[in-house]
Amino acid sequence: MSPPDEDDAAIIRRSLREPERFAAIFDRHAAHIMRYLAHRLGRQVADDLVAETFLVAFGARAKFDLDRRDARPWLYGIATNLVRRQQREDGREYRLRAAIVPEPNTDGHADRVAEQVTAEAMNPLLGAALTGLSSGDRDVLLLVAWEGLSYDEVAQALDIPIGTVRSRLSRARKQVRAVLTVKESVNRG
Amino acid sequence: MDEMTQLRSVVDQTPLPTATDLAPARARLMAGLTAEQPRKSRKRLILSAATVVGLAAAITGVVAFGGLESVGVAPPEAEAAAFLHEAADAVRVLPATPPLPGQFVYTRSETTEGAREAWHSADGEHDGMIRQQGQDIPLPGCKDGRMRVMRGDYDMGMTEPCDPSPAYRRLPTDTAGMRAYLKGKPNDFDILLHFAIQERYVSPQSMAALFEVMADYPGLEIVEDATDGAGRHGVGLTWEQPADQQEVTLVFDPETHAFLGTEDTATFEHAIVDAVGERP
Repeated sequence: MSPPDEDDAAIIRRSLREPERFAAIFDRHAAHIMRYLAHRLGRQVADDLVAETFLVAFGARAKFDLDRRDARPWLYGIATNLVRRQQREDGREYRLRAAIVPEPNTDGHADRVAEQVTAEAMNPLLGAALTGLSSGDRDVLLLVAWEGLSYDEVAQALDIPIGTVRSRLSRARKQVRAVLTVKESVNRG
Repeated sequence: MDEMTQLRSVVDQTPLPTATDLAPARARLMAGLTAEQPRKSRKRLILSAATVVGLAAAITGVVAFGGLESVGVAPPEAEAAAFLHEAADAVRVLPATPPLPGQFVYTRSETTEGAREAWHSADGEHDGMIRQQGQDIPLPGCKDGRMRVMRGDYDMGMTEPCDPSPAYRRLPTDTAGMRAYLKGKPNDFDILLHFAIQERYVSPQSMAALFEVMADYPGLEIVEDATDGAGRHGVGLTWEQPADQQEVTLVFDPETHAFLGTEDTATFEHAIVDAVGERP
């Protein structure tokens, strides 16, 4: 096992000669990557693509920039590319609308269930707002809003300049807000 | 509740997958790790029979105008490489017009998000701008290691540390130099995209060197009947790209070999100007 204080870059460096070390990268990040994939494409596809993400990462680990201690942006970038490939290959524009509805909670916790109802009522609207975005804008927005990546991390993940991250985020937020605001006022009025 | 909070709440109410949820994926990964042989990760373009015929036709077309010695059955890789060498020869003889530090690289292009104009600071220290969809998005310059913090077009009234990202860097002008330069970078494709294509200035001689290096890329192939982001037809080139990068096809003018764009972008104008907002 790798020492817990070892950063991702150190593990990846070791994994070049000892491939099984790469499992530690999976153990650190797979849960978040899988949840991200599930939100984007639904749980079933996520099951498949989370393995794919780490296999791709493993295959490309020699190219990982070892100056970057944290592998998260890199992994999110790979996952995002796989999301796009999936969307292309399936010949469907996006499955966001369906995918954004969270999995039903199985632990049956009462207030969670209550939240669930609100979320389900809310989600189709958000889903519609997201569907209206260009894929580049959507990737940026979701990596920031869902995954909490910094601008710099999104730039790394998507391999775009940080200025582009800013402009895409600003545009995406504006567009989503516009959809939500219109609906709110319709509901009120 | 603003849109970011709404989005975040979708995540907050979804529990993280457990180790049990992740077990099948982990098992697949472990099988991959112990197999030693990193598997080929990306599914290549799936060519239907019709596409293959079209591809052959496209290659013949290139051979016809390119005046190559080999005709007919040369492997696609050789044809694509030959095309790049021609593109290099065509661009190499153009005059270099590098910007001065205070100038801007102007680009007018078409992207998936519509028409776009960009003014990037040549030295990265001056404020640039992107104009798209009726919005002017400022690009704060990075001076003495600090830049203004912007959220969209809103100035937060503070600065943050930064590394300048100049629109012009001196790059090697010969093939060997360029190859060595790219080797020191984490990802040569990344560099190629950022410097040669995305609104930067690369001297014609460096561009030629880039094309020469690219001609050695593995899996290079010509894409039949490629179109750029504006629908202009040209000769498309693609190659085996790492799966952690966006796939891209570069589209060249079949006659002049000039670079037109990628499958979803198109560059119309690329010039040096003195100020943001100024057009050539």
